[in-house]
Amino acid sequence: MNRRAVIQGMAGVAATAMLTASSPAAAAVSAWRRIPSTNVQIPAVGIGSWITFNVGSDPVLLDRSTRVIAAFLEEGGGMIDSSPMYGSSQATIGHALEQLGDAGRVFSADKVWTSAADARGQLEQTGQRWGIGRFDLLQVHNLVDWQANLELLFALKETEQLGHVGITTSHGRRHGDLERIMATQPVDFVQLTYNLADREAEARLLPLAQEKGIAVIVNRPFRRGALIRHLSGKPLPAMAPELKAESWAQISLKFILGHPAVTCVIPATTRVDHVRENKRVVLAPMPDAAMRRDLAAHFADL
Amino acid sequence: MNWLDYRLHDFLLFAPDAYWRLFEQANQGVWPLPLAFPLLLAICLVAYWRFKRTVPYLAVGTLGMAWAWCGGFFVDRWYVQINWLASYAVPAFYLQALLIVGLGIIWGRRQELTVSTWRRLTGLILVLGASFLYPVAAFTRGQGIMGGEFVGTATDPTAVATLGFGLIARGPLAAICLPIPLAVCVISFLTLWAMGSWQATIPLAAIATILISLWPPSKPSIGAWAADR
Ligand SMILES: NC(=O)c1ccc[n+]([C@@H]2O[C@H](COP(=O)([O-])OP(=O)(O)OC[C@H]3O[C@@H](n4cnc5c(N)ncnc54)[C@H](OP(=O)(O)O)[C@@H]3O)[C@@H](O)[C@H]2O)c1
Repeated sequence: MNRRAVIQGMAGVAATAMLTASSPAAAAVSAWRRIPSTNVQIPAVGIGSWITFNVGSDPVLLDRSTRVIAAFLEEGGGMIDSSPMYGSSQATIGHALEQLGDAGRVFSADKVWTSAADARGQLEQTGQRWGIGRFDLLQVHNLVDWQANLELLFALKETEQLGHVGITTSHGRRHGDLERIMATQPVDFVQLTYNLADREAEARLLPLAQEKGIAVIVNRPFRRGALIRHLSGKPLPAMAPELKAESWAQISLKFILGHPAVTCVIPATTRVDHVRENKRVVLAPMPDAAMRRDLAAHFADL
Repeated sequence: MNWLDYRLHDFLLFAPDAYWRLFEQANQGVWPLPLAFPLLLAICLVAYWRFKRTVPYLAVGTLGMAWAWCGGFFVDRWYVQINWLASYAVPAFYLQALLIVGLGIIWGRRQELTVSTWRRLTGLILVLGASFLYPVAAFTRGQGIMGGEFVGTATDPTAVATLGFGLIARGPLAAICLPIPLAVCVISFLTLWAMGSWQATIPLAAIATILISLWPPSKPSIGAWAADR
């Protein structure tokens, strides 16, 4: 069955099953988010693959990765994000999807990370590693040769060989360039770093994404785990019960997903319990603007 | 590509468990071959005590094979699976193998060993430590001996053993035992440090030992090695 149709169909069911917030302050919940340019709906929590799925041919770690992806799909699936830069991660995802035979629940997102001259060859290899012929999203990784690479991706989308086009950055790098691209290029997605500790995107990029109708993928929600390690043992904010958040990981994801410009967040993990914990943040209310301000203040005071 | 956009941690493409398990898988596939290089080096040391004065061909042969096997087997077949940057290092391993064997054959018989007791002792400690202590470090990671890093299979003990040999030898043979092994130690230190592993201290200690051994100039330095008789 056509993957996009599945995702849209599942979205329809979920959209009607919106939960009611337990407090007037907290925002209503939807596990699904709309991509403004195409109206396709995707789950709000996806999964990343940097480091966690780079396990080579190790059968034990391949099996562990497959179990993580199986749990991710059980919890609703959605965006799996990878890149040619991430070692064997693409092949690990391909291995898991082949084992699980459930690619229909996946919104496949990968990247082009080379000069335009080599881009086609790299994309072909990426498709082979995933074991799929068409991606839901391809992004220019870290703005590499972005003019020419975007041109190529737009051409692929035009001929329906690709669902969406995006561009990525992280760690707050090159926000000025990204802003210019968002203002001038018809990208469907932008991917950037945004979390309790890294909030530069709030100033210009997130409002611009809303204004231009660009979907936002948030990477490094836990600063590669450092944020959670820093917060471990520290008291959860008083509003945690209201948000039904039981951990700092869930608070952090809710802070991100509570921003109205954010479409999707892609935490990476090697653990089945963590993937379930991350996916389940959408089953309870999200913080509204005032609560997010309080969360940021609470975090700053720690 | 603007490399200034990247930091050290961005080049660590893998998690520690994926890295340490590589040794287990590599060793398993060819067991007990990984034991061969440390054992050959042990034989070289016995030969060294017996003959003392000249560079044994067996030592240059063992180290040469160790570099070739480490580059072709471990780096090119296993390590590249999780670290594509490692593929750029493979030629350096073959080059080191050629240099050691080539110079060892040309100069071996004519090349006496160092007369410095300090260098000889330090060199022996490095060779012995690389051969027999490095593999045991696997136990501190909760792995058995199969997960051990052996000279000839793993990059770090191969580099440290070669540095030790460089201290025991002298002249051009000693000099070519330094640059590539030191570069391997630097890269390994940065990798293990980014991984947060205590084992980062080992290549760092090897680098420090070499620098101390070659400095101050009152001890024989690289330049003085050829004349060190
Ligand atoms: N320029 C770019 O395009 C770019 C740059 C960076 C990242 N990305 C994408 O964004 C993804 C996410 O970023 P990231 O991988 O750098 O870091 P991240 O998602 O912020 O953090 C990952 C770390 O968080 C831990 N974690 C996950 N869920 C947890 C939970 N519920 N509780 C406690 N710890 C948890 C994981 O450890 P465990 O394994 O123990 O769960 C893992 O070590 C990447 O994988 C990649 O796909 C893209």
